Amino acid sequence: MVLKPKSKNKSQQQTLASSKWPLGLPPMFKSSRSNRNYLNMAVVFTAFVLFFYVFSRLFYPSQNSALNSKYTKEHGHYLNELPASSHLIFPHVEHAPLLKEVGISGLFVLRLEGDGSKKYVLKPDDKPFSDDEKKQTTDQVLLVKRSFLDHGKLVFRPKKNVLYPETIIVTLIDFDIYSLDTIVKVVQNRVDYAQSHNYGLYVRWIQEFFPLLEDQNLSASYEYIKPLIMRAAMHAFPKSKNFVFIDQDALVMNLGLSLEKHLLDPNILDVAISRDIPVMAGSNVRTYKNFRLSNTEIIIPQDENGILDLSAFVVTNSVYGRVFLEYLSDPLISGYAWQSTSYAVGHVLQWHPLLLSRTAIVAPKLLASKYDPQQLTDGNDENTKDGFHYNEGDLVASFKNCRERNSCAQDIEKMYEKVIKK
Amino acid sequence: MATSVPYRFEDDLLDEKKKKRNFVSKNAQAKKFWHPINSKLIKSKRFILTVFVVVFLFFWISDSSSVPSNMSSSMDIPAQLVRNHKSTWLPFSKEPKIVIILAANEGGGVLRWKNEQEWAIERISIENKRAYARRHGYALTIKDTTTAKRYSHEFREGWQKVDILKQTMREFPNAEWFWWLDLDTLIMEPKKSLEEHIFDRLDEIVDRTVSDFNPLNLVEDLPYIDYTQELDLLITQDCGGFNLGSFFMRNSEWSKLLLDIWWDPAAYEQKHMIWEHREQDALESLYANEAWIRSKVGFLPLRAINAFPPGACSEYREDPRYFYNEKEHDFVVNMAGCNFGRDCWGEMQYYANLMKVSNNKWYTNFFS
Repeated sequence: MVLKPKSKNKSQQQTLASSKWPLGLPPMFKSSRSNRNYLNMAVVFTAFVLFFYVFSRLFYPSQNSALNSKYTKEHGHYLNELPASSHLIFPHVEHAPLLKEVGISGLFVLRLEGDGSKKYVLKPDDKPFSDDEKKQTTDQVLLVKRSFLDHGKLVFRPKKNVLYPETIIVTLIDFDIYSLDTIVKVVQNRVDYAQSHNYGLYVRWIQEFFPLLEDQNLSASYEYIKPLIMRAAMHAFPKSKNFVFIDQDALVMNLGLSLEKHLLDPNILDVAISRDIPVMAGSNVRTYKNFRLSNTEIIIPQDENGILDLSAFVVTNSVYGRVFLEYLSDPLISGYAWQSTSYAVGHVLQWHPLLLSRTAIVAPKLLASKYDPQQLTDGNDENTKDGFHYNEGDLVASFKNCRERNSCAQDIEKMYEKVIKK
Repeated sequence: MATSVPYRFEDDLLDEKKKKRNFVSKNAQAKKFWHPINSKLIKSKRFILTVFVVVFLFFWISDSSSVPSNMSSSMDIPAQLVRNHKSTWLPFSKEPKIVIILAANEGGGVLRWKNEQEWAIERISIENKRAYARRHGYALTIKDTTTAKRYSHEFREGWQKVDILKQTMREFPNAEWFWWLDLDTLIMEPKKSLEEHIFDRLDEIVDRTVSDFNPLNLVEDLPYIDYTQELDLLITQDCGGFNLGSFFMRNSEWSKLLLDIWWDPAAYEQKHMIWEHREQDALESLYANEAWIRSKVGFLPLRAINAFPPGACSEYREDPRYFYNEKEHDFVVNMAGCNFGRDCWGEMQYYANLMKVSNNKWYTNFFS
């Protein structure tokens, strides 16, 4: 109590006196009438300030709006874009046979480069085909060609009150190596899965990305199209969070299993994630022991040989996700003589710890179980009951190496029957 | 420790003294006038003493990390921190929002002796930034850029800047902006604060594209660039492309990612014969190809933070965009490349003099 100031009474009196005065100042005039004058003056002053503020706003519109118009809006590889109201974006698959006939040379312009080489190019300012033009044209080839070129311009712009999908399934399809029948099955499978969980779908022809490739060789560069389509999907669905790539040589087998419950839930991921293992076979860089699950922005499976498996992976639309995809597409990275794209991804993760700290490396069973036709015919083989091979109930059956077996179409057909039966 | 006691306290002390002097005043009238206060003072002696002791201890302890006075041997101290003296006034002292990183001892090491003039240049440059930081309440950290063995391989020479930035971001986790400055720079207008000169008018002075000024002939547009994002890296371009002698980086997730991505041996292996300017070229390449970089990089006019003396970019002598203009009060002069056939010491002396003259006030002479 020693610390208590003793002048308390006095100061209290003073505050009492001052509280009677407006603004704590002694009144200028004594009478109540001039008090009203005082109030009137204040009102006039306030009104003037308000008026002045509004008035000045009229003549100097906010800086921001002027600034934004100075720069181009975010766009994809095409400057002109087409709004799509459906959350299922996929091309006209029935055009596949005709597209195959026309071929790359009929779809894109071949340009002579400065160094004498010839390259197919994409016209960024290509104008979409209008409905009127569509009606007037009877040329089937032109229609197919235009629809092929316009497909990449689609971006999801929903009507109001439509649920925005949080997860998007992304797939590349190829009209050169698959028949129409197979393509329809693959796309239908994705549509079924997306619809049953209200996911978005983003399917594009592999050939659409041909002019963007450095070496313009589809079979060699196929893997590098994956980051390109994933980035395009993020642009088409800007408000969605998870983007799941599923290879065309794969089928979603368990349509009832939602990705949220299966993979994206931190509790589930906690079980599936591989901590403290080499990022790729033989690497000294290991995945983080104390990986924070809530930080997950990238999910990549690693197969039994320690190779990062890009037949299915998840990237979120975040700074990290976008950096990962754009960095992989940088010509200095994609143009390097990697053994395979898996090595490129492995390199990116090993050398850039911030990206690694956001990447969950998981068992393939979660996203891309390897389908082995030999073993499955023998019924439930004990050999396939591991974290790598496909067993009934797994989300995705991935037909890896089916190209070598030359059995992709058969595998897809056989397994598609199974999905339908369920 | 006496020097480190802030003057607020001294003010208090003066106040106290004044009151006490009044208290002992023999003047009768004054005595009458002061009587109530005097009696109060007497009654609350212990209270005043306690407050005094608490305030004294508070300022003493809170300011215990004082600045070493011997600046000439500053090179022995790898990192030095000038505390924000403005903020010690307030009990809720805030950490500085802007940190100036000064790269000292560039290329120094055991390869050769540092000569007298280099020492002197270093001293002038450090003192210039120190005074500026102190004046505006910024932090200054001086980083030694001696050629270290771990950077000696040609693949890694430029990594040092990245490492220093990362390190400084860890040191000042609450700072908002970092301003990198090479040693051969001089702040010519110490009156201007960075807020006033740069950050409050970013919209007016920053160009987010290369379409208006494109010395590298970069592609002007890329897919997926989002120009609505906040700027995180403010750099300048000189006649030869990006210039990282003076630039700003925001303390953000994006910046940390850039620092992480900046150096990649796969890219460097392909380009090390072409990339003469190491980290600058690497950044140019990232900017050329990746939209996430472009979304957050802004270009300031070279003269805003990085004006050149006539010797640099000399083949563009006629172009006023590059060179320091005394009449227009350019903010910083950067004697970039003065050690390649130019006279660093001469230039530094010239600009230091110029600064002294232009910032002279009529009363300055009274204090010198």
